[in-house]
Amino acid sequence: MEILETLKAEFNNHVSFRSKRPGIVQVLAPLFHEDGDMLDIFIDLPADPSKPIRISDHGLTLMRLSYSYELDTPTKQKVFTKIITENGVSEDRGRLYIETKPEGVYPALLQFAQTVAKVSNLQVFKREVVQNLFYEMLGDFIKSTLLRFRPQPHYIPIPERDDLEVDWFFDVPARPIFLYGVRDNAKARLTALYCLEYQRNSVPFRSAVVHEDFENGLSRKDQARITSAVDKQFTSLADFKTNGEPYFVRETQQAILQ
Amino acid sequence: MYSQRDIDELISCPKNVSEAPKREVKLVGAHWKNDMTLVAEGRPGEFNVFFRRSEDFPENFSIGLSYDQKDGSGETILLRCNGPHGAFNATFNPTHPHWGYHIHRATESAINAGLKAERHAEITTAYASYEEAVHHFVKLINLDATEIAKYFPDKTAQGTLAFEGGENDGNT
Repeated sequence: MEILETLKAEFNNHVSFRSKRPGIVQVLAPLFHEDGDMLDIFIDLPADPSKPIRISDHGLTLMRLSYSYELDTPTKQKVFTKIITENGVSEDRGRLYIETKPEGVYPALLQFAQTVAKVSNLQVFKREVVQNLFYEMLGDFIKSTLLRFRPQPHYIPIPERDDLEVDWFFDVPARPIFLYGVRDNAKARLTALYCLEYQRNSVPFRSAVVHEDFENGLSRKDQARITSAVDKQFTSLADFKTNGEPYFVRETQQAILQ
Repeated sequence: MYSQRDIDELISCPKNVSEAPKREVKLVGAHWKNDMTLVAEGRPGEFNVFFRRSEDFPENFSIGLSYDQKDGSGETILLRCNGPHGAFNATFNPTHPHWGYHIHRATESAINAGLKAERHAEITTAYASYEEAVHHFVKLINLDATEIAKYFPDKTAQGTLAFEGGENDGNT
C-alpha cells in the first residue's frame, strides 16, 4: 500500500507493519515505553479513501497507565485532557487517536507517539511522588517568605537526644516556634511524640504543624492525637501560605508585649 | 532498594487475599479491568494485583503483581504475565520478546540502573491464552490454594475466570 511504503521510506526503513485486523495495521517502530514494550500505534485505513486516516492506540495507552495509575479524579482527568488537547490528539472511549490526510501520516505519527509518551508519564503524579514534593514546597515557602523569623531546618532542641528533630526552628522572641510538616499518619504520630517529649523535658517552645491534607490524609485517631499535642495547626499548605505569615507576626508581637 | 533475592521472595512468598477481585469485571475506556489486594504474613504493606485486557484486541492482556511497602517509597511492579502485543522487527530489536506470550519480571539490575523494575521480559510457553495466564500467574505468586479455588476456579471444572462474566465470588 502506497501510504505504508511512503511512511517506511520516511522512517528510513526503520519501521515495519503488521496487519492486526482487517483495515488496521500495527506500526512496528523503534519507539518504546520505559519497560521495553513498544508503543502501541495502529493505522486505521479507511474503507473510503476520501476519509481521513486514523492513527490510534486502540485504548492500550490508558490500559497500560492503569497498571499503576488511574485517571480517577477531576484533577487527573483535567491534566490528561490538557495533554492530549494541546498535542492535537482526541479521545474516544479511552482510545487516543489523531486523524490526518495521507500526506500527513509521518508527522502525525510522530506527534501521536510523543503524546502517548506524555500520557504514559502521568504516573509521575502518583500520590507518593506528589507527597514528597510537599516537604520541598513547604521548605521553599519558608525560605522565601518567612526568612525574617530566622528559620533553621533540622534543629535538635535537646543535644543528647538527636533522635528528636524539629523540621523548622523559628527564633522568635520569648519562646521559639517548632514547626513540622505532616503528610501522613506516621509523621503525625512522630510529631505528637516529639512535642510531648519536649514538654516532658521542659523545653520552652510553641509548636505548629502544616498538614498536607488534615481532612483526608490522617485517620480520626491521628487527627485527635496531634490536635491534642500541638499548639497551632494549618490544615493544608495553601492554608499555611495564606495564614502562616500573619500567625508569625502575631506570635512575635504578643511576645514583645509580654 | 531490593536485592534479586528480595524480589524473588516477594513474588513467591505465600499470599492471601485481603481485598477480593470484583464479582463483575469493569469496562473502563477500552479495557476490561479487575483488581485485588493481597497480604503476606510477616511482611509490611500490601501486594496489588491487576488484571487488564484490551477490548479491541483481547489477546493483548496484562496480569500483574506490584508491591507497596507503605513506607512512602511507592509501588514496584514485580511481575507481569502478558499476551502478545508487539511484533518482531529485526532491524532495530532482534531480541524483542513481545511477539509472543511473555513475562516481565523485576530485576535488581534494572532497579539499580534506575530503569523500570520489570523491564526484563522473556517469552513463555507456560500459557497460551488469557485463561491459562491467570492460572499460571496465581500459582507463580503463591496465592493460597483455597483462595485460588474460590476466586479462580479451574475453567474445565466451573467455567469461571476473572474476566468471564461475574462468576468470581469477589464479594462474599
